[in-house]
Amino acid sequence: MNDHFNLLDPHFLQQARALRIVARRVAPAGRWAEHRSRDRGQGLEFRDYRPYSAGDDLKSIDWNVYRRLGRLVVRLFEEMEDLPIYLMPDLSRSMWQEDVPRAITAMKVAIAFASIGLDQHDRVGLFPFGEDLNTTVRPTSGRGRLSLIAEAMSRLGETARKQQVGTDLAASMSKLRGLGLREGLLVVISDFFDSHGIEAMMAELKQTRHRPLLVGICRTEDREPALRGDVRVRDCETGDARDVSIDSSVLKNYADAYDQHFDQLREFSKSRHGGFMAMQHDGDVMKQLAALFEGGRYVA
Amino acid sequence: MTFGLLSTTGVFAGVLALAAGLWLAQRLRVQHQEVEVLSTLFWRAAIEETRARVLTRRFRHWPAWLLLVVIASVLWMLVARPESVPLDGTQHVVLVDWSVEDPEVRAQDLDIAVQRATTLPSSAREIMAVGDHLETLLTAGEPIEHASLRAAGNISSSPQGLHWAIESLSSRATKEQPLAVHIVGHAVIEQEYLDALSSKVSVFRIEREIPSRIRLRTLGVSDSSDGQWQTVDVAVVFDAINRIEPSTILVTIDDEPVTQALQQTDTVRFLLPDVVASGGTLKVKIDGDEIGSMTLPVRTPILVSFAADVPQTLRDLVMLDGACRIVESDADVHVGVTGDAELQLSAQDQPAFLIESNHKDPNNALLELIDELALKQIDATSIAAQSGQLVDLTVISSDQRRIAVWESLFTNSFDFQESRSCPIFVARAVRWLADRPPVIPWAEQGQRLPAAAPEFDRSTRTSALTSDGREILVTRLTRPVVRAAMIPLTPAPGIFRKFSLYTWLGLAATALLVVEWGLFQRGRMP
Repeated sequence: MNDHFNLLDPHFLQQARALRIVARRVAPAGRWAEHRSRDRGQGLEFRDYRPYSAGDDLKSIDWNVYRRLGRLVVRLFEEMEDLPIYLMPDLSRSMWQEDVPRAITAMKVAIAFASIGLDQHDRVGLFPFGEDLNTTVRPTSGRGRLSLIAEAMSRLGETARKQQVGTDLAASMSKLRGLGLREGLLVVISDFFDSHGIEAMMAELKQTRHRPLLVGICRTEDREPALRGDVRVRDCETGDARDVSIDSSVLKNYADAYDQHFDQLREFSKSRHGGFMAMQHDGDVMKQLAALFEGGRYVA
Repeated sequence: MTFGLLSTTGVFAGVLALAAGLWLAQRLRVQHQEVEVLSTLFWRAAIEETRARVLTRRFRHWPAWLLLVVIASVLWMLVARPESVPLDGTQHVVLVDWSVEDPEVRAQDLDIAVQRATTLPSSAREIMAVGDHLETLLTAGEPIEHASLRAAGNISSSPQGLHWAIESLSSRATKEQPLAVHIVGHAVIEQEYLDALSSKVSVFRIEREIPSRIRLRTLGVSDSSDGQWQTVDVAVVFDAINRIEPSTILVTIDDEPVTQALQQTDTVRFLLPDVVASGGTLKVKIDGDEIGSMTLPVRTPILVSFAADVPQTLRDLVMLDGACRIVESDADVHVGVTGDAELQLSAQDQPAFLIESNHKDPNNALLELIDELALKQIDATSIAAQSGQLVDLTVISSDQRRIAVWESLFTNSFDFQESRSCPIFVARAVRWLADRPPVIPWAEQGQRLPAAAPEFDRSTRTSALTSDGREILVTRLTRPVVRAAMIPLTPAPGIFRKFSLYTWLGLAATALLVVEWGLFQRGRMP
């Protein structure tokens, strides 16, 4: 099996299985699973009444109500369905730039979410992106599918590392929207360094109907770079060069711009009842994920 | 180095050169260390990039460049020391009374003059010193330091007054460019003189610090007012603003207090009358401190002898002169008809007045003698008419002094013996022959001389030796009282004039540099 990035580390996966995604009511028309759905059907928990109409199952009529009120009503029960999880790890060039690439952290986060989702009988789709969205791995379910997802991710990761493409989250989101996928949990795992700017990114994110969970792979140096003096900074993806005379005031402006960038992402997630997580690249992935799910703080 | 003499064109050319230099500096390419980063997204947002220094790219930092140009221009003009042009076109001349040779006094006066000149527009200010001539220490437009450099030269003092200096300067005043003269010193100027000046000339006195120690301004003698030959009147004038208490003044002659009472004629002027001209040392003390001394003149009688055939009129004139004593022998002046007499009575075929002077230049000797022997007062026309001859005045150089005059002038043949000029001529002639010049008031060297008397002889610098051989400056204080003008003080500069344009530019440069530093610290400047 092709697992260059050691995504199927047993210890890592064992820790992931301890985590659960708690969802609000999932979108209807799903498969049976563990999440409460907005569908009303044949589940176990009573939810509501509605007037009887021709064709309804006679077993669902509440005869006690008929006896007291003389009206035929049908009992409705909650439907338990799955939560589609769409994983979008960023495999652009900036994610491969360091000695220990951020892409590996992104893939580990993705595989953790995949493991959690498959364990909960949810459908999991993998859509790695760079300049474009890769749709070769369709959403799937079943615990046994984890190895297939890991293998696909390793393969795509290898390819991306060789191709060294740029980032265009807006185009990727647009393409995802065009797939017409059922409403689910969209996990974007990226450094969010898109040369097209935060505005383009936000414009496209706001159009998605999925519940967003944005995981930013970051390092302390991202906000506080150790550069001083007259420097020509060159963008690793676009080749764009900027001559900068770095002093304390420039660094402060830089930090302000950085904070503003991620504050916008955080505010967007909050407004869509989603979540934003700053994943420290140098830290333990599973511990940070556990902190996200701890005590049911994160509800998809 | 100073750009004080740089023209306006030069100053603005310098500003343009600085602007161009800064423009080039802005566009200079900086050697950058290239670093690959994950994204330039935040760098773009964080900074105004430094492309402005790259020649091939667009110039972007206009506000920063303009601020730098303003700062550089202000600094440049600060170095160039510009001056505001006076709106009324007034020319200012600071006139230093340099009748004193005391270096301390001179330095003090120069400091005062320089301080005043500093507050005046550079293009319209001058500093001049009045010594034996009018010396220009600073011309218009020059840096103020030049005044001190020029003053270091040796400029002779002079007892001459300031009138002639003001008079010569006043010719410059025009309607468009009036003249303001600022006087440094206590020189007295007559009110009448100021009244006679053109309205285009204003005279001010620069207020001086009141000296803590009372000093002597004038110490001099003049002929006794009661006509006594052996006595003189001593004038004492103090250099002080406030009234001097007479009880604090002690005057001694050869260390013995004088018996005469001091007569106060002014707040600072005193007169000691009828002092015996014995050649003693007169000292003036204030509260026991000696502040001045002088050697009194020697006024011994002039011994005159007569030959037998000298006209009685002449004998009577000499005998009535209190300065003369008739003797038979060993006379200072012998009057006779023979050639050995100092005052020789000659025949009418000789020149009417033949004067032998020990002065080497007969022409100059004649000029001096006309005054000294009161020859101007003699009515030569009348004598000529009565004699039918040309009245000839001849001066020749000789080893000794001798006067030959027609004997007949002292007879009834002429009206001369009855004229007012006759006794004056005889008295002056006897004194001149005996080498007893008229007393001329004098002051000790180094003390300020009053520059009040318009009778000052401007053409000569008079000096004399004291009895102990010191050279002193003398002045003819023949006019005892002058109505000194109350000269207004130079108006103090206003609060804004106290700070020159130079100072304002300095403050502006400092403020701009602080602004630039603040902008740089906030990252608003590249």
